[in-house]
Amino acid sequence: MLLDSTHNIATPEGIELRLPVAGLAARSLAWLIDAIIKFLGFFVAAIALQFLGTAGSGLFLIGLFAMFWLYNVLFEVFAGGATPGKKAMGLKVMNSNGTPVGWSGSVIRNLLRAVDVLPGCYLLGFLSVFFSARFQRLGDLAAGTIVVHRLPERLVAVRDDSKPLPLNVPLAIDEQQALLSFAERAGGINDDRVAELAELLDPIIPGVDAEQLKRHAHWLAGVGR
Amino acid sequence: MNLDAVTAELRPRSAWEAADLGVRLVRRDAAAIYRAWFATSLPLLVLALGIVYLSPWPGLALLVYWWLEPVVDAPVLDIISRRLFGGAPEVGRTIRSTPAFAWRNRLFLLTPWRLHFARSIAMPVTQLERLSGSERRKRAAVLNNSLLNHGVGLTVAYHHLVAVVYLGVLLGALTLIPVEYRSWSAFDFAFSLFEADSRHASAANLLLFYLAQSLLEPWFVGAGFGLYINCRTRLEAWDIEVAFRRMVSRRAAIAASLLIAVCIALPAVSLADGADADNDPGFAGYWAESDYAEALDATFADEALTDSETRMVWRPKYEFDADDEADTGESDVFRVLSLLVSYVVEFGLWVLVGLLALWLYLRRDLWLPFLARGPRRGQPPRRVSIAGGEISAETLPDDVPAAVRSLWANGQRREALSLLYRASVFASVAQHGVRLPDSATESACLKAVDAQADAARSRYFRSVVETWVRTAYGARPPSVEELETLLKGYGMAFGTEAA
Repeated sequence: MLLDSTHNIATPEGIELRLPVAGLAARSLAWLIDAIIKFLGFFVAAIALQFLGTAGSGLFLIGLFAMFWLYNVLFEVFAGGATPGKKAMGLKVMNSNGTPVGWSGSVIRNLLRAVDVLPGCYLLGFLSVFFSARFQRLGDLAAGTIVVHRLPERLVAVRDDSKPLPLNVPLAIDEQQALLSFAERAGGINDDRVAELAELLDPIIPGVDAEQLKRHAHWLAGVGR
Repeated sequence: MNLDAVTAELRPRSAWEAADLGVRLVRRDAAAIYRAWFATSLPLLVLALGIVYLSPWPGLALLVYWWLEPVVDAPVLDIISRRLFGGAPEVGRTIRSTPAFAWRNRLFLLTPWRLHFARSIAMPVTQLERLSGSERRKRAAVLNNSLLNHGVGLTVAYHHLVAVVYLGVLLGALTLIPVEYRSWSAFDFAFSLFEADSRHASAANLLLFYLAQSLLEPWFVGAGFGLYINCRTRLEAWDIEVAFRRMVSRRAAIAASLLIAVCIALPAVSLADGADADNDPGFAGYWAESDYAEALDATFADEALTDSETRMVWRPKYEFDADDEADTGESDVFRVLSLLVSYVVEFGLWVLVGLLALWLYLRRDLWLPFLARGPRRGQPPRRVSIAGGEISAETLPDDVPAAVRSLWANGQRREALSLLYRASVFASVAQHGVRLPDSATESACLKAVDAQADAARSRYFRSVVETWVRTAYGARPPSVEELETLLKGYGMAFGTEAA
């Protein structure tokens, strides 16, 4: 079995969901970005509110409370599971069964931040993420949530003017995908390497070269079919 | 490099996901990696401790140890790369070649490149590709083009995490010291570690750093290796090569078996050549752009696609200007504003409290039953609705056990147990004030009774439900003795006439 970076879930419909679970590097940087945003928020609020005397300090305390307990929850529930820091790092929070995180999950995982932060600088949270199979901190374990990498929106980029060329070799799905992937990415790869890759298929498609392979892929992509 | 034997799923990933794959590579061979790690790092630690106790500058030890880090990173990198391409980790051989690795990585040991901000992605180039000089620079430029940001980000994260472990352990240890025994605050203590003249303090500091770094250095090397591998997978399409090779070998296997079959079955065979695709009439001219344009125009002209509607709304004719209040006294403006804000906020908070109370009142049906565990006072309901129907006193016989027995004797076992189940549900509700959700299923009833009735009843109720479920859905009815026990229990639990 090949090692992969995903956590796989089989749905009752027989579909396998592959969630790319996110580990320490991305998560700690996301936390850092959020911390900077919050700090700037405090800074600005503190300056603005000092003109309002005691009412200002009251408001500041309310804001402090909201920042501590609501910042993560509100963003996770209303902004697609991601605080600004997570969004910047391409992360989002999900339930570990692949559904979007809801109020209870988000509230539990963020209340338990108070435990993760012990003994003062996230040591427990760090150890939990470091050693758990799905990179979960204690709050995640309690709430049944995971943090995943947001997959980029994929667009099929077989777009050139080459004429599609039918391929009379039957291909399995993964093989068709390999061919399409070849055509999509050929533009970003060294020409010699592209030729070398195309040559690999010589035993199946005798005399094939990169151009021809791209035309086959074009045909597979089904443009105009 | 042998891509046929690669032991991880290669595909172009996002950089951070690739770093996580690298971490998983380290995890997979954690035992071998940590053996090699300790075998190479412990001598360095001994050297550093020697500097602490024997040299005149104990503070130098940490710097020396830190500077020599690339020496201990090399074995980790060697093991994960070897294992990725199908080799087995050979810890002994890896440890023995540490000096050779150190020489290959001399750039990071002997020059200011030690301070490279993305060393984790630069080291594979010197150590695994064995490049140096201008070739290395060219290679590094290609990698840095797409990786430098992530390499630096990884280094930033790594140093923060080392600090997390270092300070975390320090703070944790400090909280375990009873207050009577420590005169300093945690902050003072941490600072005293840096300032202390004592060699023991330097040694403790060094050991703490060593602990944090032992935990994280393999992680750091692995994540950097993941970034590096992902970059090469993208640039050189390793995943496509793997897929193409798999394609060929799959067909070779099929062809071999086919060849045997053909040799046995047919003396001669002629393979048909593929159709001449360029002359395929199905594709001739379909690419002409003018055809598209016309068809598109025709489609969009269709009425079904014209998506407009007329909507009438009221809008104010004149804008009302709210900011018309003149400034009062110059110095009082903030005071007045402050008073205003505080009134508004106070008022708003009270409104919020009121709304919350109102909401709780409106939703009392949801949470009241959870508070009131005992039987609810008041008239018990006359009818109970569960999944599959309603139960009321009229639909139940007066003597439930007798009715059950007669149904059972008739051979209507399912009906008999259904009656027992419904009677038990109704009795729980009518006699003991258990509150059920609407259309409660068996398990919902069970949960409600468990939560709201006493232990003996809920135990009995559980056995009734289990027997009913087994009979109804599992087609495994109870034996006559079991049924009798249940019926006797009914009398005791729900206080009807003795069975």
